[in-house]
Parts: sequence; C-alpha cells; structure tokens
Amino acid sequence: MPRLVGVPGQGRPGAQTGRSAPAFPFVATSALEEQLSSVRGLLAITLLMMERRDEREVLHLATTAVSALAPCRAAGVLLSSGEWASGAVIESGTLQRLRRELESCPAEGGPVGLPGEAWAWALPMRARHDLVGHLVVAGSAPPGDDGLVLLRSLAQQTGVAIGNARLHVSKEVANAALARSVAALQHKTAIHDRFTSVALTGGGYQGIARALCELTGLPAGIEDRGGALLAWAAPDDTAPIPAPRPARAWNDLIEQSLRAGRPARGDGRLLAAVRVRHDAVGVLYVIDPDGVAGEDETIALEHGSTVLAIELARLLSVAETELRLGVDVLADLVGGTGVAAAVRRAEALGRDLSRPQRVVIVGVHRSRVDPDVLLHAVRGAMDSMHPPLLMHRGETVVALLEVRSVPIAPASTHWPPDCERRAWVGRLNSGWAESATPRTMWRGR
Amino acid sequence: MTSPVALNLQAGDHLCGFYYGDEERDAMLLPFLREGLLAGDKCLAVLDSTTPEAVITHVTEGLDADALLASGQLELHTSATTYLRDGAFAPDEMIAFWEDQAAAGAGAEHGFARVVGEMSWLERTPTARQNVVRYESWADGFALRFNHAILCLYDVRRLGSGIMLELMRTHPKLLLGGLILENPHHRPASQRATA
Repeated sequence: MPRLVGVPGQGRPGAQTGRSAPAFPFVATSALEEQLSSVRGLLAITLLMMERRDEREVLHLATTAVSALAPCRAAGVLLSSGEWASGAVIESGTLQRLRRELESCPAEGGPVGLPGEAWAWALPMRARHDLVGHLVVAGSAPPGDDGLVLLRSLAQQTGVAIGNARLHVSKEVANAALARSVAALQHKTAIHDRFTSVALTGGGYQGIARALCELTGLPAGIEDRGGALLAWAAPDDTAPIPAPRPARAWNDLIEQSLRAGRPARGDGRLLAAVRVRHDAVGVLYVIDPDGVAGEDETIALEHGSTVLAIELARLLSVAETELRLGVDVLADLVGGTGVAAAVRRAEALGRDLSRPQRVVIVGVHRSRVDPDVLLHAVRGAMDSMHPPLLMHRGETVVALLEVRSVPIAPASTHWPPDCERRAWVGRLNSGWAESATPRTMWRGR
Repeated sequence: MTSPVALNLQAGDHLCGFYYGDEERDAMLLPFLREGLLAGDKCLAVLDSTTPEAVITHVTEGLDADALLASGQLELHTSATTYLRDGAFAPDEMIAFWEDQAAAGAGAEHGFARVVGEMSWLERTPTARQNVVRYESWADGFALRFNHAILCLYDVRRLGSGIMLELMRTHPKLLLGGLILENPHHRPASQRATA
C-alpha cells in the first residue's frame, strides 16, 4: 500500500517519523507583499529542488511546500508510471480511479475526486515535453486563484527538477559505463603494450611467461605439446611444481582450448593452447587452483598466447630455413659445384668450412626405411649444441659436422635396424679424396 | 562531502541558512566556525543533529582544541541544555540565554562573535510558528547590538520546505547553499506586529 512521504507532519524520504512537523500558517501581511514573498519563496524552493539528484528528495521539497503556499495540503504525487510516489496511504481502488481520472485530465490540470476531501486538484508536472506525473493537492475549500497559480508553478518547477534529476542519473549511469569501458580499454592496451614489448625485444618464452605473470599476478608457464616446461614465472619466484597429470586429461584440455578458440580451465590452471599452422605446439597457462582468474586475466592469457604463437612460428620458420640452407650447402659440397656459395651460406648458418669437417653418411643395409625417419634419427643423435648440416641422398642421410663436434651417440635408441655410418674427414679445398679415409665408425644391430 | 560554503558574514549579519541533510549542514557549519577560530573570533554554537565532539574534531584540526575550549573562544552547547532545557521551546528563556552569553563576553578579548543556532530540534518538538518567528526577529536586533554574526541553521530534509517560505516572509536575507537570497518585500518585526 502506498505510504505518505514528504508531506508535512508525515515525515520525509527514508525517515518515516509519523510526528507532526511545525505548522507555519501565513503571516497577516498585505496581500501583495504576501504574494511577492511567496513567489520569492517558490524561487528559493526551486533552487533547492534543482540541486537534488534524487527525485524523491525533489518530491519531498515540493509536497512540504504546498501548505505554506496555499491553504491546502499535498495529498501526494502520482507519477506517469502509475506509481503513487509521495503521498498518504491510499486505497488501491481510489488509486485506480485516480489513474483513470488523470488519463482524461486536461493538460493544465483539473479537479479529481479523493475520498473525504471537499476539494482536490491534480497539477501536471512536466519536464520539457514529457509529463512526469501529477501533484495532487486537497483541502476543505479551493485555495483561490492566487494560491492555485502558486501551486501550478510549484508543480511545473517540480517536473523540471525531476527531469533534471533523472538527467543527472542517466548521465551518471552513462559516465559510469563509459568509465568502465575506458578502464577496460586501458587494461587491454596495457596488456597489448606489455606483450608487444616482449615480442619486439625478443623476450622469448621467458619474456612471455614473465609478462603474463606480472599482468595477472598468477604463476605462469609455457609447456610444449608433450608437457615439457619451456618457461616459468611466479610472483614470489617459487619454482614450478609439476602437478600429477594424466596425459589423456591434459590432451583433452588442450583439444578443448583449440576447439573453443579460447582459454580452457582444468588441472588447476587456465590455459591456452597455441597452434602453429595445423599443429598444437605449445601451451601457455596461469596457475589458478582457486579460480580467481576473471575476464582481465583471460584477456591477458589470450594476448600472451597470440605472442607465443608468433614466437613459435618464428622459431619454426628459422629452423626450416636453416635446414633448407644446410641442404643447399651439402648439395653444393657433395656435388662439387658452387663451393664458394656454399661457404657463404654456411657462414650464414654459423659454420666455418675452413675448419676440418667430418662427413657422415648414414644408410640402412638390407631393408628400406622411411628417409624422414632416418633423417630424424640422425638429427636426434647429433649434439644439439652443434647441429649438423643434413641432407637426403638416395637412401642415405649425409651429415657434415665440425671435427670438434661430439660423435654420434652409439647408444641412441632412435636408430633404425641395420643402420651403418661411414665417416670421412677432410678439409675443404685440400681435396676430400686425398685425406679422407673411409672408416666404419659404428654398425647397428 | 559537499563543498564548504564561504559565508563571509559581517558583524551585525543574521542569516537563516537552509540545507538538505547532514552533509550540507557540515558544509555551512564547519567552515563558519573554523574560519572564526583562525581569525581569533569567539565561536559559540548550539548543536542538535551533530555532537560537540564531532564539531570540535573538524574545526580544531591542527589547533589546540583544549586551549580553545578552556579560553572560551570555542563554546559549544546542545539543544537539550538550551532550546529544550525545559522540554519545550521557550523563546524568552532562549533569548535570555543569548543575552547573558553576550553580556558575559562583552568585555572579553574576543570582540567579534560568531553564533550558530541549529534548529533541527523543531522536528522532534513542534512549536508554535509565532515563537520561531519572534525568536528569529529578535535575533536581527541582537546581532546588531552585540556586533555578532549569527547563523541559524534549518534542515529542510527534517523540517520540510514550508518553513523556508515562512522565514522568507520574516527575514530580509536567507542563505541557500552558497547563495544568499534577499527579500525586498520583507517587513520588519515592528510592522508585522501591527499587521
């Protein structure tokens, strides 16, 4: 049931006291002075109302002014929404009748019926082109033309003040939304700038993990597809603690992230799988067992995974280029053509062909083997710090190693069966045939 | 907090200040007293919706509060011991209270006094409007006689806006937020008495 709010003697918004406020009837001055003083008083109330940001406060000021402006009282306010916002308790049937009456009420206001009131009048409250509602006043007799003019002015000013308050509220809501958007944009920009800096300065895996850690405040890591840790960063520099992880569950999580195209949660982590070309080749994650990572952390993870994908693609491209250059060098050397160009290309790969080199040819007796498998086996057996130049030649793999390189590991488990390696040692330009001494270095099973 | 209101009251001024809620009250009350303390003026206030302790904390920040209170430069009372000392507002007794205070301080080192009377008690203890009008009218002459600046505070959130309309008719100047509203149609108390 609607309650009276803001009418003299009936309390104020938020503090229903039920006590009677002091009554201040008119002082018996001359009619003109009275009228002029009332107009100035109305101006003062208008100023107060315009400063309010809460429309309930505006209504309180308006309804408590009525009895001081004219010999009547404020019965309440019926807003255009149909709400009986600031008035005495009113029966629902009376309220419905009042709503119907106001639907056909003249634009300048008019009489309405209120139970127990000899006279009641609805005064429209307008804010620019909108009807905000009606101020309903009542008394034992009409207040006279002068009083009604003052009350009509009060209702008009109240409508403007309510419109003003609503405008402020909507402006504040819009400003708050704008502030949130700006903050989100600034955060995204900070993330973007941070990871861009990593990419531009060649921060590599560690740079990416450190940036992600700093942006999220959570431990961050990078693993390859097989789960080997490539980089790690934690706020308190704690060492990574590998969680017991069923391979299948881990793979499912990676697949989930790849399918969704966004980070997935599991294993106490929020992770983003990174795909280069068609293969998942890395995983970037934050440790988040409590699930505190939200939108901001997810955005940071997504940006980080993009930079990681770029880094992985770059590394892959470099490896492929080096491999291709190595093949070209070896082809030139084995074919005996373009030696000078081979030397330059070798230099680009960090190889000094003026130093003694060992040529290793690896082949398979009696059975055929996939050349790529053999190439992979040879590469895997070589010292990773001093990678050889490799090429296919027929069913063999030719490798060129510096003499100081560590020899092929005989215990490698990757060798195909019946694999045999023969090696020649010589110096470029001094003739391979003169100094090379074919030897069988090692024979497989 | 609402921005402080710069009142710039002079000796002999008497303003009725209207505000909406405690925040706006403090914006009027606290700067008025603090400026007075810093200027060496006597500051005398009767409080109702706030406590002397709260006011002392704010207006004496960086000053020696104990010394200000001991010397009488800052003197704070509550409505319970003044306006409502006998349970209801008796204007004659209240007028006597202020007259006594002024007489006692007339020969003191603080020639100029800032006086504040907070009227929020009207919400709890309604009184006849002629008592309030008479009291406020007396204050006009009191300010002039004793070289005081008087600020009467009315919270329209508690009392409604009707009281502002009444006092607009009986006062030449009203303070509304930071704005002073003058009423050229104001009639002095002597004329109202004969009306």
